[in-house]
Amino acid sequence: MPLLDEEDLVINPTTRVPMVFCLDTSGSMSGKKIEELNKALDAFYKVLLEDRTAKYAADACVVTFDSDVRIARPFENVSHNNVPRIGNPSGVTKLGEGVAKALDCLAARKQEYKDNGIEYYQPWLILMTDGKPVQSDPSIIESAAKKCVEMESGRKLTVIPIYIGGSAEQDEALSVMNRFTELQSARSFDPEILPELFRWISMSATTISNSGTGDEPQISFDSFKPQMQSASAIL
Amino acid sequence: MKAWQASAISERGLGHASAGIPCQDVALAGERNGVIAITLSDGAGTATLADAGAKLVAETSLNYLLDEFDSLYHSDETSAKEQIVKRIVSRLEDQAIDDAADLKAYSATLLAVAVKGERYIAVHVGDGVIAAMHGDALCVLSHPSNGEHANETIFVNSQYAMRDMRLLRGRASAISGFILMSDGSEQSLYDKANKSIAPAVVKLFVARLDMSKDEFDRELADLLKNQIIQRTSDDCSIALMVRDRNRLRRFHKTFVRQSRNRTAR
Repeated sequence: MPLLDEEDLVINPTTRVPMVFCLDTSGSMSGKKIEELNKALDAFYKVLLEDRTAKYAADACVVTFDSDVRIARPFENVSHNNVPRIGNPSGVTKLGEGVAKALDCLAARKQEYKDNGIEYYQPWLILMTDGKPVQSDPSIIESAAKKCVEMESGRKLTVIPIYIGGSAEQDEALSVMNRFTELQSARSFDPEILPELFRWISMSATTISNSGTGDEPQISFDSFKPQMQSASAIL
Repeated sequence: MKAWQASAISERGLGHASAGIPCQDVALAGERNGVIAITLSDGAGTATLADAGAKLVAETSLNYLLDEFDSLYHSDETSAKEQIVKRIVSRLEDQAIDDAADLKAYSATLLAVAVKGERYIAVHVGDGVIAAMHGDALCVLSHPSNGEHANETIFVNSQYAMRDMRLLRGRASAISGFILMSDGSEQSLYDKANKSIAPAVVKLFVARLDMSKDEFDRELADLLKNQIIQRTSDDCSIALMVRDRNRLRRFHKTFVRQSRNRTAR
């Protein structure tokens, strides 16, 4: 007979990996880009669901921005297998407003964790756009960028800036994205790379959800080695 | 005064086993000079020599408590904390010189309890839990110290060790059991939301008194391997010392009755 029965043991909630996707759904994302983005979200969930720890650890939220900002999927555990579907891109690119909303969602989720005694790892903000901001209030971009950088330097946030390449305004767009992070440089990818990129993000989340105290696994583009070759992938 | 019985066991976690990494927890028990002590150390996942660090921290703190109990008990709090940190860090520094390694390579937490007569000292830096059976109640003496994020804690060789160290000294007359657990075991024996210890810990205390040391150590190793390790990827350790079955009996009976009622429902 064992020293303790299963029912003697405490069941603590799985330590969470909060991830907020802040995704551009402006008109320029129509067609191939939005198709690949939806495939990427499918891939992201699929990888996490295959790991017995990660599927209960990963909490994902999806915020979209175009002329409006929407919470396409509030924070939810990935184990619910409730894969968000992004449709009908249209309008302009209110990037600053999107990031501000994403940070608000993250702050609210962290408070929920604290209220319920749930531990969590350093949150991630996955920021993805295919162009420079259009009709986004400069002061909101400024304040959201400042907050991201402050959180990043205080090790309270990891920013993963993804640019879907191919437009003439790439340099300007990358420059704007880099205002949201000082630790990672925004990278440009072809739309076809997105599913592989999101798989890599979920595999990184799996590693973190299985890490222990004192471990400091970091997500960095340096560890992303795409199998699919692409002319514009990884500048 | 009833004699204390101690045990200390560590098991490698599933994550470390699958990665081919050695167990980075070390739990020890020892007795001399009229002092009995248990210590536990959990090496930092990022530290390149975490297993060696945990061993050195557990061994050095054990020897220090066994040899310098009276001095540590009577010194003022700041001075006692300084003595403990200095002794451990000095040992780690010597090893770092021998290995041509950085001090950070040995980063590890510290949990320890020592008893002499009816006085006790408890020392804690970092995560893990120290709990005690005090009178008829199981209570937490020292909670885990984590940062905002789950994988952040303080190590005994960090600049924040003195600030984080919890040093408790007092009468042990009402205490019939102490337990130290690493953060891996914490997952199954410590309720993080309510910051309370699993009442079933009293079953471990009673079992330790009912069994020989060898028999209990085998059973405790099986518990870690078959149940506790299955609920985490981390290494798991438990060190405990216990005495006086009669004083544990009342709590144990209540616990068993409640467990039966729970099962019946």
